[in-house]
Amino acid sequence: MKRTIAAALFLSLAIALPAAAQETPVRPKANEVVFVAKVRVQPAIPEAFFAQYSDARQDTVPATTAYLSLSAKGSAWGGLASPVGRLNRFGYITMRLPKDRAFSFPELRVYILDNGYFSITLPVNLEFTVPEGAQYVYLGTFVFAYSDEYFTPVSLSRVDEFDDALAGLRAALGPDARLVRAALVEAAP
Amino acid sequence: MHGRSLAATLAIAALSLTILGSCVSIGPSTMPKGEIGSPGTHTLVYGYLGFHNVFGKRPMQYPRYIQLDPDAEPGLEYAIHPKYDGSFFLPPLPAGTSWKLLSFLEAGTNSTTVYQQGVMGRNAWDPRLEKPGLMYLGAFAWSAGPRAWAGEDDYSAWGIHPFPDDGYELAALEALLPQFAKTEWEPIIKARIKELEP
Repeated sequence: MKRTIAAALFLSLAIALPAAAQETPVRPKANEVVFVAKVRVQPAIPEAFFAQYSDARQDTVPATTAYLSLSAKGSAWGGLASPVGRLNRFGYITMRLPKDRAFSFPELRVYILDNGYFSITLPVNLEFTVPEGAQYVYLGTFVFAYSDEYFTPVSLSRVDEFDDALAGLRAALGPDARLVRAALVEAAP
Repeated sequence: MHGRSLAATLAIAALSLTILGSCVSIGPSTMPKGEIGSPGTHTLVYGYLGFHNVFGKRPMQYPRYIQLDPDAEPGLEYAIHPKYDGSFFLPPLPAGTSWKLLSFLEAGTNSTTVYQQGVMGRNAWDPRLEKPGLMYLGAFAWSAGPRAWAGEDDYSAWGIHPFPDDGYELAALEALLPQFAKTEWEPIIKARIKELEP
């Protein structure tokens, strides 16, 4: 019985992670949308210190990676997170558009050296609706500031780097690429 | 989603415990071999870490602490349960270092649930070793809260909760004392036991 549950959990995880993170933007299909976001952490994470905990058998230490919990509003997969990629650079997450175009964005996470044990989980509790016709949606640049070795939170702010994000998109896809800002609102309880 | 995954976790935990009965592996019961840090330079952290649910009160399984101060040596230490009663201690660790509960387990016969705590935030059960000597951390348990757990259906209430000291400090000191026999720690531990004894 437990094996069945474990297998079902594993399978559901495997199925529920279709969102692909890209460090360069791609053109979405007709029923898809590409979210653009960036995550910064201040001060910089002492990665060399955490690398000492890494498996010595690994040749390279993975990069610290940010994840956004994004899902169709009301979906059962709300807790799953899509990688937005490395810190301090724009990442692109391609997702299927639900019929009502509504998304939940409950939290963002930072995995130091992409290690799930070294996680920083930041609730944002937001939701938004993708405007009709929008293919690329800028969610924002999220800046997490902390004060000590326990990553005690000082603030989590959203900075507007829309112009930079648009420039990056146009550099990759051409001058016709259009980007819109997500109208993020606090999720209803 | 959080509640849903927690519900699934709890269901698996309940199944595991039903099948397993009372005695599961809870981690090391003795200190790793080697030199023991001195009370002049090191801190001996002790307390109670439990896992309380409708099946009863058990020790937390394999609680593992990580050292987070980037200016000090890295370190990973399993809490030592000298007895099967939730009492625990950490091997004496250099004063000035910062430790956080990184994970613990709920191990069954076919499945193991890892409760990852992440590296963000300092809770009451995450000791910053300000000075050398004894440091009673407190009594904490994964539970639905200090009182209610049977019939509790608000899964969001489940987490690590502090418990008022109900003889936990004395029990922990008495349990760890034999491992510090004939060390510099022995008189310090005995003195504290004497203070606590009714």
